[in-house]
Amino acid sequence: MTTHAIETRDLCYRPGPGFEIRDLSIKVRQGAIYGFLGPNGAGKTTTIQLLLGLRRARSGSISILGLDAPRELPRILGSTGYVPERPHLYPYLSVAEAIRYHGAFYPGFDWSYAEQLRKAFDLREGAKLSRVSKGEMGKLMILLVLAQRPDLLVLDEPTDGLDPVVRRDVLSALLDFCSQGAATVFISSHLVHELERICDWVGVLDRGRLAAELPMNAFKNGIKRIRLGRAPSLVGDTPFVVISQERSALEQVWVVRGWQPTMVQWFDGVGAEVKEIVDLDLEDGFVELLRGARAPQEG
Amino acid sequence: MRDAAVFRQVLLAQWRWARLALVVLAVVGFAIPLASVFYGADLAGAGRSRVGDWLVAADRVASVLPYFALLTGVLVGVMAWTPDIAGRHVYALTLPVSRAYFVTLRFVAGALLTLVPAGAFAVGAVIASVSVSLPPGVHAHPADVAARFWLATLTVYAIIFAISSASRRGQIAIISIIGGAVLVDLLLLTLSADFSITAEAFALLTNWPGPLAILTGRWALFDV
Amino acid sequence: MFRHIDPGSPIPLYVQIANRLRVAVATGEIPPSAPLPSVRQLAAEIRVNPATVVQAYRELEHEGIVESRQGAGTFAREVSDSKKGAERHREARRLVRGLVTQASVLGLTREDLEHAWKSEIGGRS
Repeated sequence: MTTHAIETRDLCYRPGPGFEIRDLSIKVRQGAIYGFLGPNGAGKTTTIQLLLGLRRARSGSISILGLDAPRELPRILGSTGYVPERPHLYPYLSVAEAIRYHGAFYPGFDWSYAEQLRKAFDLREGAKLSRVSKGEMGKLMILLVLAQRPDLLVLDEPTDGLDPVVRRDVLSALLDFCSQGAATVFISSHLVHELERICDWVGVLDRGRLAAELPMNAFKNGIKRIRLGRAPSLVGDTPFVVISQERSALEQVWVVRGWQPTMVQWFDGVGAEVKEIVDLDLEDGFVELLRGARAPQEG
Repeated sequence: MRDAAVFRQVLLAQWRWARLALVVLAVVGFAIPLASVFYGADLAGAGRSRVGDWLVAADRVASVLPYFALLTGVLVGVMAWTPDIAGRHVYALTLPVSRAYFVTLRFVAGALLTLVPAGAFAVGAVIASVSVSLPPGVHAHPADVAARFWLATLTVYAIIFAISSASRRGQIAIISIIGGAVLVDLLLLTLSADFSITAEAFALLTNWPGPLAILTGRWALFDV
Repeated sequence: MFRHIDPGSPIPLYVQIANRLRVAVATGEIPPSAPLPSVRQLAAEIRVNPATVVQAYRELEHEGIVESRQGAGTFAREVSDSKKGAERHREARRLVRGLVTQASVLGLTREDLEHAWKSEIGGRS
């Protein structure tokens, strides 16, 4: 039984009324590029902070790279590269000084790779961090964590607010690194289209709870919007998961998950007429999933 | 091997952050002993009253020293953690070292940096002592005063560092205790009481074996 | 080469990549025995998961269009003329299908299309 790169069990955190993380059980396989999706305010950053010991959970367990968090945090952090949402480096250092500072803490720091990335990212050695642009800071933070050659990368909205050119550079460097080894990437973002290309797993967080966790292909291909002409006469067990239903005078629209093409026969069997089956891309699927998660459960 | 490299980087980063303040303090520290020889160069054959006047003036300059040591210690102590405050300590907390280890590194780095103003002071004191030809019976104590200065600075630094390194709750507790003591004293003042918490605390701290005792006593560079 | 990769399309990414490469090999864009970009290079270049590229390459290898050599990379194979022809047909039909669909959405008739075809193709030598 291989250990997951990140595994939480029933994680609970409640800083005050109005915000809560409840029974969060995330499983991130080793070597996966796991996209952590969710609307703003869902608790993505808070979850990451809980994982890395920046906040303390009320109950539940966290295991990262097979080690117990937060007890073994220094060991975990030695093999983990973290890029927070907001820049956290010392603004009075220069690019070269920041690299030297960071690299000293990691025995396996790859200095030549750092230099290679610095040149590729076009970061001037003497540039003070307080004066670099947002894009340059984003590139520097990626540089530092990649040069660590970590087993796990935890990236909190790494490309948010960056222009498309910089976003490309950052993603290319990230994927280049992933191709070289078996690192696990845990990347949180609300940029659904970006994650669509690079992630092979997706976890959806909504209001502090995990709404879904499944392989990207299953998520994308399995969510369909079905337009029905005649409503099914009997609604019992469905071979798919119904996320939402909308009824109008002329037709019904169902959004389902876990669809397979052969399931059309089920509709025939219950006397429904399938007018159209529409593929939903990740963004639409994401929206529908959230809508379904928030709707009251139908008896 | 790695510890040395890590410490070097921590020290360098501290230096980059604090160097302006340290250089200013060093210049001032260098200048103070020289100020006390401002009046005289050749006192070998001078009359007693002139020597007396000069010693009084030198002593007045020297009385600045404990406050200067206090200032240096406070500044270096406060600057120990100010670079991390903007980032809410996220960087320090996510480096692969234990908190205790990192705090120790920072402490030692800051302690070493106090040598900059203390060293400049020592150099100034030595220069001051040799630049004046002293009349018989008057001695210079550059080494004593320089050592006292550095130890006083270190003591204040250690106290301020400890407070800056305390958790939020700890810091709030300390400030509340001090604030509470001040309020109580104001109350006692209105009641014309003879007792003052802050005065008592001050006396406790500054008299041996109180930690701040080193700030009191003689700071005279020139003495009979 | 890969400007048209659409992550939003219902066609899985690895299929899109494999399709593009299949056409490239069939038309000679990638000549026989020429190397395909490395997984690492391609993943970084088009910004997709390396596993996706691996899947595409495996698919093509299974079809006999490319072969992977241990340590050296993946290379295009000599494709038989009939296979090349079949691929060209498939690609041409795909293009026409798209054109016809678009035209019908815009309300253009078959005559409109034939007319346009003649003037466009006739104009070039």
